[in-house]
Amino acid sequence: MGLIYSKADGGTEPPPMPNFASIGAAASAALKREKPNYLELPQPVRYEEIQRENIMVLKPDTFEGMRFEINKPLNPYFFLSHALYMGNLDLSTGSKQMLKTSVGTYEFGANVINEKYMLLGRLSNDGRLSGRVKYDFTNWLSSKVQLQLGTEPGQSHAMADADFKGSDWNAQLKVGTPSFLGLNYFQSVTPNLSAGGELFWLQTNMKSGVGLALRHQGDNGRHVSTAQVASTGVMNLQYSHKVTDKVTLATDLLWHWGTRDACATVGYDAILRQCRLRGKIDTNGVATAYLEERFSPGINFVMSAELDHFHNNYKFGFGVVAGE
Amino acid sequence: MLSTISNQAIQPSVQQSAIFGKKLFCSFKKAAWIASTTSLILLIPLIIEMDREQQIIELEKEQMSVLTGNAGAK
Repeated sequence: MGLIYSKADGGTEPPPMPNFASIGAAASAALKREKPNYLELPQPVRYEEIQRENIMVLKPDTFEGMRFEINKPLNPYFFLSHALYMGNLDLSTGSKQMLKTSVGTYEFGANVINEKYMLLGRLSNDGRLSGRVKYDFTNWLSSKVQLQLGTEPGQSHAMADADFKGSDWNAQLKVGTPSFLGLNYFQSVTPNLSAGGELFWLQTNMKSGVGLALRHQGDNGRHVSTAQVASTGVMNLQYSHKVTDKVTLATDLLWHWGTRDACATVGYDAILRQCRLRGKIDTNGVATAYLEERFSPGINFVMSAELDHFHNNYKFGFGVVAGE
Repeated sequence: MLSTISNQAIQPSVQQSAIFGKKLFCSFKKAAWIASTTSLILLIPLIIEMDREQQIIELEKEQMSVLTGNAGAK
């Protein structure tokens, strides 16, 4: 907070001298940083969370219509959630024809969150039941099961995965019901750089793919850049930079070399005291903004706007999220 | 004779410039619409929220100085 001293003594004492010892400590720490210890590299993030910083800035969940959510804690570990959504679902396929249907859904959820395990259950008014169980067996093995039951045939599926963690690597094995198998591995190469890959196989379409990923974070996590290439013909480059402790800027390039389609996005995320504002603009001619404003502790007002200039498709939504 | 020839020579270019002027105005309209609506959702909320943040910070500074000022006066 800077130099704060009380004026109670009438200002007779001189202000304290700035502390020069901190500068010497920073210089010796910089010298130590030049020689990384390759036997003690830090644990990298999980493969699914490589793009976490970028997704937080560039992918807010925009919606069209009204949203009302309440999270009600009954216990320190158990809380119920009610989610009401009335609005339009956009089914347009990207051609000139715009197709929207009005939906109204209510979803009830029960959640238990503990240190070792997490249980989530959701039941929606169109008869869809979904559940998620996450359990940490030991500090190097944890597993997750995801189940979904639908009313129509073909809508039910299950997916189970097991996460293994080493000292500087992590791996995940995923198995899913309509015969899906996936394996990914991520390893720290230097204290700032980590690399890894994934394999997946779908039996129903006889599709399989290989992907490689690279993640670099610099300056104590202030900027993060990732690069991902997949054999399905997709390349994705991302960069996000924390400019101040309130504002983060991020950019993303997605290139399908199969269909020769590329899309670049630039966005910002401002986390202020009373609100959180995210905005982004696209080369597909889409501008998006998402505002979460805190009316009082526990009540957030949410507004979302998405303008697609090339298709003249404008979507606006508002809602209230109560509870944490 | 000469005036009719020169009139016929002028008319296509006048038409062309009128068509070009219309196209220019059309694309100017489109650009103005896109620029104004995009800046309305991307920049205006940011300015409003930054303003509110500044007001809150100033209010807090004032309150802090009032508290320490009162303690000093006493």
